[in-house]
Amino acid sequence: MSFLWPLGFAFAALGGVVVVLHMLKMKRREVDISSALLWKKAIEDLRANAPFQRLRKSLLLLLQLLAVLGLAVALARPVRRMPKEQGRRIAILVDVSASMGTREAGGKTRVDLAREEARKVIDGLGPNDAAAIVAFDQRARALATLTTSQPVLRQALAELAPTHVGSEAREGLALAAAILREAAGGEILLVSDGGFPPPGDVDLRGAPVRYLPVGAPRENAGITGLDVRRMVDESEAIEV
Amino acid sequence: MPLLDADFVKKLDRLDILSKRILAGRMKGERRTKKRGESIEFADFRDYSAGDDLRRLDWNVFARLDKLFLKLFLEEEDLSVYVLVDASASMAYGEPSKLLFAKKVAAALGYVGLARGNRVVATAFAGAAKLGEEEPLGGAGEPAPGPGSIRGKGAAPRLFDYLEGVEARGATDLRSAFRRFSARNQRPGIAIIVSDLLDRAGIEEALRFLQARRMDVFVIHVLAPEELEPRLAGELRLIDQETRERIEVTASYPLLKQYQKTLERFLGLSKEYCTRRGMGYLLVSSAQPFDELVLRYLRSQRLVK
Repeated sequence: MSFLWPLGFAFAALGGVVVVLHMLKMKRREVDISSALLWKKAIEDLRANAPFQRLRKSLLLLLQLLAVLGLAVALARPVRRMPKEQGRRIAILVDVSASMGTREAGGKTRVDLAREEARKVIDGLGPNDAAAIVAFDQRARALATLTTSQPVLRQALAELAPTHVGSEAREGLALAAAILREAAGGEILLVSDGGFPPPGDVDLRGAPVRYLPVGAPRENAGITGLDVRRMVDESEAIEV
Repeated sequence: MPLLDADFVKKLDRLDILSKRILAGRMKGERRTKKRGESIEFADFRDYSAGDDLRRLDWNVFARLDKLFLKLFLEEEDLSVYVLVDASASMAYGEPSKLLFAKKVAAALGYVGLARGNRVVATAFAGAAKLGEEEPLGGAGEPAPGPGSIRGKGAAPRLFDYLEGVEARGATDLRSAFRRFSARNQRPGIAIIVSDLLDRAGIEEALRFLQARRMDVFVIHVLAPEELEPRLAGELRLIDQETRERIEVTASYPLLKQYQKTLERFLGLSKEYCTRRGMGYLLVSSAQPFDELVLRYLRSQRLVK
């Protein structure tokens, strides 16, 4: 523990003022009594019975001194250097392959659903938690590298859009693992409809993978591309 | 304002001071004694022997029996009533003050004594003061001595005047006060002490002086309501009115409780001592109605009838 402003302890000197005030206040009210005889006996007996009586008498003073001391300590601004707490590290891996463009019931695409899921995760991050967002289809792109900044992460989420190619989870996992490389306790969150070939052997560097499925599970079939070409040899023919 | 109002004095006329013992007096009075003597109260007969007062012969018996008998009557004597009022500074304390109360009690009892033809000696004492009828005015801190031995209702104003003039001052020293008193007043009688008994030396030794004179002692212990139930709070400096001694206290609940305990012990011891020694004891608060005390409580205590 150290103090940002040790000068604040000078205020402890106010304790002296309190003592002086106390003594000034101790101007006791004078009361005439007929005889001190009984009172003296009573006081003696009381002292014999309660040795802490004297201490109790100055309880008020004690409390005031404590208050002043507390104030002085507060003014000195005590700080404690704590090892920065390691937050969670999450790499959010979002599948943006063609299948993710499928519209689900409710008119939202799977990417939209994935975005919502990812947003929930981001909203749930603590101040020390960092996340990265990686989109992958056949290739993987880091939309946001590991950051604690939620606006950056949201911005990255907005950029998610389905592409026209299939997905290669292997690529995405490798990139996510690479991003998490430095961070101990990282976690990879894979948001996908599951329409990708088994990723095979990827070096995840020990990061666990959590799979967050989106969309109704069904066979994927889609026209991924439509190309119209004029045949080279026959000028009238068009190849579709 | 006079100590006693006229109505009350009228009531006092019906009272008499009682003594548990029959004490020898010096003059003829209204009090019956064991001694044979002259009064209208018949006691016995006895044979005439030469030299007896012929006036006391029972002529009727002589006429019937032809023998000389002497009629004996109970002798009636006076009683010495000593009223001692504590006039130490502590007696000025209280609302109403203990001294005023004590003066009234002394006046009433003194009057009762006078009205019944007794010899009354009223005197105020503090301790350092000299006591007794022959003493001249005391110095500083000493109350003036009483009017001395007075007798008869006619002397009542002297008694009242004296008591009214008594002022509280000086420190209580019961021992020396009573010692002086018993040296001056050797005739046995009833000694009525009106005091707060707040004496550092205690009361035992002091009262012994009176008992040694075969006084029939009755202690009326007067305390102010402020003493019986002090209502104090906060940081206080208590000033003893007798010694000007200052004690600093924080009047807390435990202290007040302890004071009550101490007070009760003090009262208990005083009463126990008096009762054990055959002395009358009555504790009164100066806030108590004074006429009630005289007309009722002192009656129940067999001091007056």
